[in-house]
Amino acid sequence: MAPATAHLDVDYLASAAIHQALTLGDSLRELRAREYATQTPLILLDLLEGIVDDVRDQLLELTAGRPLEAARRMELRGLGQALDQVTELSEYVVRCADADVPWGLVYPLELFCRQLTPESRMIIYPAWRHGYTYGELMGTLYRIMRSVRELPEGEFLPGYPRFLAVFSFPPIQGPNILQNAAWGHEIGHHLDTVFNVSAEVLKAPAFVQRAGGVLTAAQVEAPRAARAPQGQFDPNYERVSHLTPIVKILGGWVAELVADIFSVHVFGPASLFAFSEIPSALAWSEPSWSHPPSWLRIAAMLDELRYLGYDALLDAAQSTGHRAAMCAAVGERLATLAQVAARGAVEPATGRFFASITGVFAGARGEMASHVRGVVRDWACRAERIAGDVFELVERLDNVIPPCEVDLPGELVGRATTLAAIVNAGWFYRIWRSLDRAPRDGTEARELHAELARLNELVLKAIELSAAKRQLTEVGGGVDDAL
Amino acid sequence: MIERGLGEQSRFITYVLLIGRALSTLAEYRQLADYRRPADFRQLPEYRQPAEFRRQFDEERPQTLSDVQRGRLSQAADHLRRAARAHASLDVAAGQGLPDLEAVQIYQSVYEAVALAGIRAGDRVAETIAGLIATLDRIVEGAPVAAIDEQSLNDLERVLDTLAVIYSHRAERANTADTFESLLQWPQPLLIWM
Repeated sequence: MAPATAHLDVDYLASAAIHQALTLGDSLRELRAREYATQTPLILLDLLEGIVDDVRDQLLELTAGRPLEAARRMELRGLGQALDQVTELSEYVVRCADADVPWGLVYPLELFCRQLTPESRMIIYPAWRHGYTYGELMGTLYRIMRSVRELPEGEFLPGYPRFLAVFSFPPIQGPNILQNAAWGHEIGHHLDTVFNVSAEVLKAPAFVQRAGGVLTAAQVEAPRAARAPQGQFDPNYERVSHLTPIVKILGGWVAELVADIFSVHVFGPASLFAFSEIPSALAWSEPSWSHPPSWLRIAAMLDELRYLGYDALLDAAQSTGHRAAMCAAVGERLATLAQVAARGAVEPATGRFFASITGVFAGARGEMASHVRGVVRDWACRAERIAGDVFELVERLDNVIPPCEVDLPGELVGRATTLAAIVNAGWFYRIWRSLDRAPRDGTEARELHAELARLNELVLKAIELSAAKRQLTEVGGGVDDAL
Repeated sequence: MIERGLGEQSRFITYVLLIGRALSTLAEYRQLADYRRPADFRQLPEYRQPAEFRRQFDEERPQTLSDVQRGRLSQAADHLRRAARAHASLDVAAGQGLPDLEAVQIYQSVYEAVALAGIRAGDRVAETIAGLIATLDRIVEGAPVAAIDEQSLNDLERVLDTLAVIYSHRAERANTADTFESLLQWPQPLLIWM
């Protein structure tokens, strides 16, 4: 028999939410049985299960065997929404289990991320709809945890990572290892999250002064149209309505440019080459609500390459033989991209609004770069760090050998190299041998496609061999809780 | 591209919970003065007389809010204070600095809640928010129910209730906030300016 209460609807909702929590808890436990490339999805599962248990306990506490008072319906609504979000987050675990991502992509990248920020773990999955994206989940999880259990602000769960980076990539690019150097940008977003660079840039007086002009202009020019909700009586609401989108765009563009600058520190020129070959980035001068125009991003990355010493590395006059030819080809590609950036800088942006915002950023590039340089550590992909390896690795590729190590005279086993050196060797080879030239016809397109596929296969093999070698030879070099 | 939707969603869910718990606590606060609730009488065993129940209830019922309950109201007051601060900063900061977007979102939501709840304590929303905060502060400091103006308590409950609904809707929409759809919600003058 139904309980005698005037708030049956709330009572039944509570019951439904409790059953949803129980079902969700069971589903999460079932997910444990599936196979994953790394342990990280299981960490996410742990946390999600904990949240579901807490929400279930709170729901039981709300009802405690008695009819639920109507006044508690908002608490119930919040707890129900927390459960909905756990359901959404559990999709990441399912995607990881379903994804057929090569070990050579997942494991070395996770190791690399942990080398950059030891307190980080990483999940990577193919996403049909969004392509290359980055998200940080621990902030989201802690926010929900703090609202459903006693976990004071500023305290973190012992034994769990501080950051959980989630990267997605377009599945069509899965086998295109070199194109996936575009992850450098997403890793850049993660570094930005860890080191809080964008927030610092947005607070910097010089940036605020530059942006101030745009904000003032928006307020002066935007007429005070009556768009506030009914009963409005405060002019500040109108001002907020006009300022908020502009502040969002400023924040979004800073985050993207900071990630671009970081990406050069992560993968060197490979990041720029990969970015310049993303077809959707071809509208060079067109900015969007979330991203600055491509020419501005290229200009920022070229600045950073110069800072890291790549001009000197690629000076063909200082080299001979194959190396001189490689330097000339890669140098020429960078010069082409510099022309693209220069052309974009003089072409007017669409509309006064974007022109003003672009103006703010064209002047603030150097300031953003100095903020990034301030936090970069010994992992920076400086020219001198890969100079000793990259040309020899390109020679190996030319001999159809995976560029996984550098030969040592008189030794059977060579010296280990870095992920950045391998990826750059792949790009240098691709440019040197003109594998990304525009084909004249379908036959040539097929031939180039097959050659690029072989190159990608060699590079993937090299990444896997290099990671396996690290596991086997270095003390604590990887055979730990990452697998 | 940064996926911001999940972070926004979780933030609004925490706001729904924060405001929801404050609403529950306000209901419990009202009950401190109302010990002749029909529900209590319904639960009373037949052999016990109302007088005996009242005596027992007077002895057992809490006379004041617990620390946990006061903490929940205090958090709600702090939340409204954040909105008030965002409002104040908008008065002076135009062209001088970038507003804190989270605080501005809270301000927008509180503003909408005040407007939709039909509360108007003064010419400006700042005065209304200040009134709501003052009521919450008085309750947190231990003011008995009888000392709080009934209308103020009703207004507070109405605004908080509307605010929780607004946050709940924002949480549901958050995952699509970065899409083109959000552009359609932008103020028309700004779109024209672009």
